[in-house]
Amino acid sequence: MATQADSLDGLLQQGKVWQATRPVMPQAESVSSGYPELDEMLPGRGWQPGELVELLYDREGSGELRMVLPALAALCRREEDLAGKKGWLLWVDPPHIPYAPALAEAGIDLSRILVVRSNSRRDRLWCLEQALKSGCCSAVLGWLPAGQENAVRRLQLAASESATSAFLFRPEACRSQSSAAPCRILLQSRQQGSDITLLKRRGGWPQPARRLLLGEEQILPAVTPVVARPQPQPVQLRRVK
Amino acid sequence: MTVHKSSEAPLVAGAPSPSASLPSSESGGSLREPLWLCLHFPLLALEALQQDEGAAALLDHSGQRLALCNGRALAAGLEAGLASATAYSICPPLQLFKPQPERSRQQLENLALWAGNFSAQISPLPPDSLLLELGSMLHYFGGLECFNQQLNRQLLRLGYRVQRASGHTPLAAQLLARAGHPVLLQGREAHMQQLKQLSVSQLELKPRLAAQLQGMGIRQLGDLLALPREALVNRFSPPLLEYLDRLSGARPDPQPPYQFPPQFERRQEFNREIGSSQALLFPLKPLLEALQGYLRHQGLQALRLQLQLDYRDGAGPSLELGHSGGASAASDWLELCRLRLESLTLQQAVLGLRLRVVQFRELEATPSDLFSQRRGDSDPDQLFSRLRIRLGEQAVQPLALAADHRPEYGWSTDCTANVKLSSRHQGRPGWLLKQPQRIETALVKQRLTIIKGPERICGGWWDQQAVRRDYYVARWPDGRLGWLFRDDRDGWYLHGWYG
Amino acid sequence: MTMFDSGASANPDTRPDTAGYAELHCISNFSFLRGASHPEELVNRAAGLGYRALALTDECSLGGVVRAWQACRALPATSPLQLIVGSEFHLDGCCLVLLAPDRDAYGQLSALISRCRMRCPKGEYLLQWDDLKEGVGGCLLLIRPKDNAELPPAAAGVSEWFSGRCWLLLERLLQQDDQQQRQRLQQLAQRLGLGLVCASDVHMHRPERQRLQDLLTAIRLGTSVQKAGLALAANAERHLRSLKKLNSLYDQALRRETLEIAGRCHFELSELRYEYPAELVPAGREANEYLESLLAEGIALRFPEGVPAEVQALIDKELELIRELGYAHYFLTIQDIVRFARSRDILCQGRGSAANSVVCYCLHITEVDPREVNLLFERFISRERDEPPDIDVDFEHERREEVIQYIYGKYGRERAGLAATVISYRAKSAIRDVGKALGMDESYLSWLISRLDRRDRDNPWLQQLLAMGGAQPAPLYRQFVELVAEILDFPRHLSQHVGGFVIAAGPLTELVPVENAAMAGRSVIQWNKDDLEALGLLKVDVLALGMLTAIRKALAALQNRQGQPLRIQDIPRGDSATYDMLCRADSVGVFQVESRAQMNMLPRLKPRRYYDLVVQVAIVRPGPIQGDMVHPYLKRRDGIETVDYPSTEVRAVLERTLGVPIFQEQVIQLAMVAAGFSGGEADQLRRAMAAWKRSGKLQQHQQKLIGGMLARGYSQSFAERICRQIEGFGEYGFPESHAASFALLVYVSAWLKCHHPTEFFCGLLNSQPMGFYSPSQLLQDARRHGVEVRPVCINRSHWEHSLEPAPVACDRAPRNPRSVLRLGFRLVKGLSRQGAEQLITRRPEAGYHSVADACHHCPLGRTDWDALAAAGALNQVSRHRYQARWELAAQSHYLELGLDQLPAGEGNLILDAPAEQEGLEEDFRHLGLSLGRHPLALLRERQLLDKCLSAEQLKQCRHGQLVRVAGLVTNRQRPGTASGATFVTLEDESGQINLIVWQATAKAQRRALLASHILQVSGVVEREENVIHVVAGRLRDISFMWDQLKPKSRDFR
Repeated sequence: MATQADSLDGLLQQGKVWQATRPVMPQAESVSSGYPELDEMLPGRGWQPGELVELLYDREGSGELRMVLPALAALCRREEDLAGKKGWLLWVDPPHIPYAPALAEAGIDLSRILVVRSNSRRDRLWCLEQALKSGCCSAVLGWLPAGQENAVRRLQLAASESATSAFLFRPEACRSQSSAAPCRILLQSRQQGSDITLLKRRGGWPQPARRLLLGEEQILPAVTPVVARPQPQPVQLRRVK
Repeated sequence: MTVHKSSEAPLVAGAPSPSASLPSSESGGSLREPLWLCLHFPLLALEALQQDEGAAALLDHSGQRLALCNGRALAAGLEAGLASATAYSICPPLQLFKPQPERSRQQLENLALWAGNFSAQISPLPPDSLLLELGSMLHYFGGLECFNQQLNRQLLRLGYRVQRASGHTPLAAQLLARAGHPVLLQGREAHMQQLKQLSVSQLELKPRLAAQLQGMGIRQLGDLLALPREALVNRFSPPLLEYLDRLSGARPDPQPPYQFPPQFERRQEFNREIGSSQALLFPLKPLLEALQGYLRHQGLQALRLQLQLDYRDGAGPSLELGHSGGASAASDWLELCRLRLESLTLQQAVLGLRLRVVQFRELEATPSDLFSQRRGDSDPDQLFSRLRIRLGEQAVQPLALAADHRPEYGWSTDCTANVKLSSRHQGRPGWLLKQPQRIETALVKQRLTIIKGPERICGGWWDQQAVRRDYYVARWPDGRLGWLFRDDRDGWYLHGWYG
Repeated sequence: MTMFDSGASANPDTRPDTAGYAELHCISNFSFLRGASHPEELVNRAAGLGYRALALTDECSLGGVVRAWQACRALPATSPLQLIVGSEFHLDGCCLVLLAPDRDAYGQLSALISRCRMRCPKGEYLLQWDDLKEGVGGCLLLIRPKDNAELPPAAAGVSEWFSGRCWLLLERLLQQDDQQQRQRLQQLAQRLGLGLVCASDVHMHRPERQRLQDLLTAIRLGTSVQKAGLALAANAERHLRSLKKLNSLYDQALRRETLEIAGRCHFELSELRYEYPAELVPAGREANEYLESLLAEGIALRFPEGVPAEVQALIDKELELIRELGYAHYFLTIQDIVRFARSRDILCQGRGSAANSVVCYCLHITEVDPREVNLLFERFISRERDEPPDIDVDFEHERREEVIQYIYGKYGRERAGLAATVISYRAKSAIRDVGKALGMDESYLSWLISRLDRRDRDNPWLQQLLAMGGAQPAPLYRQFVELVAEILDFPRHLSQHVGGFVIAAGPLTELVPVENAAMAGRSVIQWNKDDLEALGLLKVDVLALGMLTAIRKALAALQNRQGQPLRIQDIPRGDSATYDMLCRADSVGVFQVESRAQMNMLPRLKPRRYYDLVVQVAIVRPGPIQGDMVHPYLKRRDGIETVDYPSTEVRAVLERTLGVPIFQEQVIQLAMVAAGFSGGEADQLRRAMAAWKRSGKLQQHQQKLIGGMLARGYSQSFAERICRQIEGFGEYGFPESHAASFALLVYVSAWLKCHHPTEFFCGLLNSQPMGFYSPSQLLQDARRHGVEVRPVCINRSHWEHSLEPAPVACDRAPRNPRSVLRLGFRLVKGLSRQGAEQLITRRPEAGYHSVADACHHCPLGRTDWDALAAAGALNQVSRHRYQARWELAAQSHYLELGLDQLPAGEGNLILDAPAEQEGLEEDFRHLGLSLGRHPLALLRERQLLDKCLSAEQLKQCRHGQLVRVAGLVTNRQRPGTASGATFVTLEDESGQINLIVWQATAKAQRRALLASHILQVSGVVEREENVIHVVAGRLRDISFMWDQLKPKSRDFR
């Protein structure tokens, strides 16, 4: 398993695999992101458990949580939990307090959440790796500064071993660095909605940025009449790489 | 009856275990007179809760009146039946406790374990008495006299108020002990003599029956027994006569013995928080006494103990104590605990502790690892504890809703409250700042776009954290969505991000 | 940016807008445990803010509207406020507000509330959508739909049912979803074609009340504010907000709509007119004329020898007033009830201002003969005061229910209802509820309560409470005290008035909402008697009085013995033996004057005539005592002080009480005569007196009083004294009109006690529980008066106590045979009436001859037999209690086995008899009294009461003598009059001993004082006239001695 992931990863790095139509990890069903437009962009039409997702954004408030919360909620709703026990949703070193009312409103079962505050960078990585390896988490969310690209490789390995959903939140500055994460997404806030750019995806070329509301209309129903749906696309396309 | 020569050896130092070799082959064993001992702990329900020496009383179930008073409370002029308010006004430093039957039950079980020091057959008589079969045990102790001395010594260590009495039947011992008469006798006649002086109210009959007897001028058991049996049969229902027969011994009265558990694991909760590790020795003592009785009864020694402390916010440190050769005496283990606790700094106040034997040794057997650990990696709890061990208790927290309008109190790490999602929780940001962050008014007015609000939140006057705020959702120039408020002094603060 | 500008974006019209505002949705604290302001506070605040109108819309209630209406009337003319009457309902998550624009709609609303309330047990209500379909079409309806801004399907027809009279309610409370709510409502309004109007869901008059409102929520939910969480309001917006703020919250159209709606409302509470039940006047006759004819019949009975001229003049005058003010129906109503009572032989007696009139005497409403009372006071009905006549009628307490059922039967439950009594927060309940809602421990709260001394006038209890928090009270404790102060007088629930009936001509529910009382088969209206009085609605007080029962029973017994009817009016008046007895304070059992305080006064006041009794009844009250009127009166009476009057007008008012105001009426008259108050002002003063603590309005009146008196030339000191006296009257003033009726019963009961003690005590004991003394104390007093009493006996007793002829060898004249009192089975605790009746009906002529015989005849239950044996009622057939129980045990055992009788062979076992002490104890336990020796006699015999004097011996002691006494503690009392003292009454074999325990003594020996049953006291005799007290020094609880007397089993202790 590990070697397979390794070699696949290697192949991917070289851009040699081209199999967009076939699910790469048939043992784990993908999880819808909750946003049809985003699912469309993602291979497998959703987040792929076992595939580390690297989310690059600069400052909190850009839509980074709204982007993953529906998927976390979907994971909570899944029946096939570990041997009758519920898997954890582990948050390692989030930058602020994950606010329980908002998470609950998003449909997440709070009793499955654990928030970890590590004492050091070492502990943080240890913790992420333990969690991914243990196989008893439904999802692991981690906040990691720039650098530490080796660590990302280790984490991707651990995630794929246990087919755990993993989201790594990192500053936009990491964009230029190469990453072992099979899926890299850039998130940029705009005056309406956020621009989402798929920097890297398994089985596909990078795609141009798309503007998504990411649930903004739920927060601000008063603005709904202003931001009509379906939304026209005034967004300029940006080709990456 | 033969006197056993080894009786001078104190129990603690390893007298033979009662159950290890029941004296079935002892000469004269079959001719032994039956003899029972009852230990009655009249204040158990209170003593199980109190942790100091002051005046204290237990409330009745309604919580309005006193049900039990300790010595100091009695000395201050209180008595059972007084209204709690009156009691306070008579004795202001009084401590009042609500009854916790579960705690009393646990203490009685501890005492039953402890009584393993003295008898192979022990029957708890809930809520507050123990019955010990004594007839077959006396020869181990070298007769009644020596038994009594050893019993006294241990009872003193225990520190409970106790009334005890012997009896030629279980019921006789029980009644005499509850009546508070310190009888330690042998023989049916001697006991009957004492029993006849018991008043009808002390016979623990149904209140209605006792009242009926008293209403006929029958005051003492002697009066009752003096009446012709025929006349009694004509007036009272069969249970009374059966009862009298069990009391006198004319009818057998088998007692179900306490089944000692295969494992030794006891919990002790405290009534108040304990802040120093040395102070933990006080509640630990009765557990170690129970341990000693347990080990003696089972013919075991303990090699390793585990002591788990409960912090206010959850599990506290767990200590392992080992005795290479194995030990059973409470005093030995207490000393080990004292040494171990000296080096422990408490991070939080302790609310309870649990004592468990990790490894036993049979008295003659060699030590061996009886309990191999079995680990399951995919157990979520396992991950949880592993993280906690490495990072510390506080570093790993659950997340829960809390019912409070003030945003900073709208969440908690306490999952037990079980707060449901309400409409009041809606529209909140995913990130809450640990501390509201001051923003320049100019920034708000010139750069931010308010798109929703105000939502006014006022509350918390009762815990001195009152807030009066108007909350708004605003868009930052770079498009991000923030949650900010203005307080009643016109200051603006950022409190969250719609991440 | 202002606080609210973002929300006001919907208001493009920024011109200053002076259109005004009407609040259409507002609850007061009559929505119990929800509203956090009194109706008066809401009215005053709304007027102060410049609101045009305020709708008081308590939840399914009109309980607060009368107060709000009164407050509106009291507003200065410069800031008037229109009061709209309405009510709020909750249904399917929607909030409905119904407003009454006119009298018809008011009736519909009141009936709807009644309907919703009557469906449910006390305190609850249930509204169904169908209720709105018809019957309330005259009302205006405002709806605030559930969060989703949708009406439930059942409500689909609402816009049709209330065509043109229905609006949706927009209430901006600065919540998270204000904007969405507004949008949804607008859409819904459009879809349903309804108007939109704004309101504020007002719960309090100022935002500062939020604390209290949160607290009420916690109390209502049975939790604490800390735990109430989101059940509390998120903010304090539900108050009466300023017009400026409202302008920024709601656009002009919405606000203008409130005025539109207010403009459609014309109803005023003063339109409620009482219509009298018509059926009392026979068809074809006119009420006044009918009353006069009834009166003529009465006059013939009362004055068979002809009416004296001055009485006739009085009658004419009274009739003229009645005719002029239209009160004939009222008198007819009362007369009808009294006539019913008389027809059933139920004794009754009217009292109150209008009751002491010749008209009432002639209608047999009262027995007070106007010739006997010098009716100097004219308070019959006052033309100026425009207040309804006030007649309370007392009935025998055991039979009042018959009268009530007569009223219900005659007028139906839809036309007759009991007035409510609003139960409000008082010290204890406030501390308990507030403390619990703040999360404080209940036993701690009880402890606080137990330490309060509410009688201490120098240190009000709220201050004491604050002091108990320590020098630096914790913030929560401070809040606790503040909230306790704030919640005081907040209504908590409705209870039923003791007997105030409102009887209407039509359905009562169209006049005032009616709801279920806790007692089955009773209904209560939502207003209390003050509210009724404020609206000028008439009520009839049907009260219960134990003494009437006792008198009737005594008179019946006398009639039985003497063979001729004896009625109250047959009792000779002015009997000097009776007055002698009262002067000796020999008044145990006598109506009204049997309390210790009254007994202390009797030897000083030395009543010799009827009017003295009127004074006696009124003077021993906290009012006159605190106002320091007693001593001047006594001094003047005894001629020690001269009586002078500052003017002839004052003389006319005060002459009958020697210049000292003793009655409430005199205060009112003084205000009019000396200070120039108008009738209306004087009446306000009377109300302020009744509630001066609550409203604190008395001070205004006082200034006016003093000013008025000075202006009329009275001295400053006279004016101040009058004021002080008025303040002392406070809540406790006693009206002369009531005292006059009571005094008659004092005389009658005293006469009976004096001349026919056996019958008197028999009647009294058969009317228990009532009065000041226990049966045991009454019986001891009876025996001291030579009444012979015999024990309860299976072969002699009846259910009630009865009279048996005395032994033939009696020395009394045969014409007037003496009786002895036989105790009845009603004393036997635990004996069922049914069982006793059976025992009596099956009793053979010669009586039962053994326990077995009795059991054979009467299949009573085990409890009944046990009760009989315990009471000693079987002693005649089986020696003593022990033996009786022994024999009963065998009987019941064999009856259970189905055998007829005991098998032979057991032999006759005779048990030892109980000791004397045991007998006494069982007597007290099972009968509540004993005919044996007094316990103290036993103690004395054993020489356990070292040097203690008896009550009898105490009478020979001189003032200041050191004595020691002992007795059973029969009463502990802390009267409001003497601060700090506790009065204890001890009883020994010779009588009562009165102790005074001063505060310091009490504090030092609290335990002995509070917990003892038998008390030994060393102290000093205090003697004044014939009143003897012992001022306690050392107290010793000697209750244990009683136990020492008993033969003991040797309990191990």
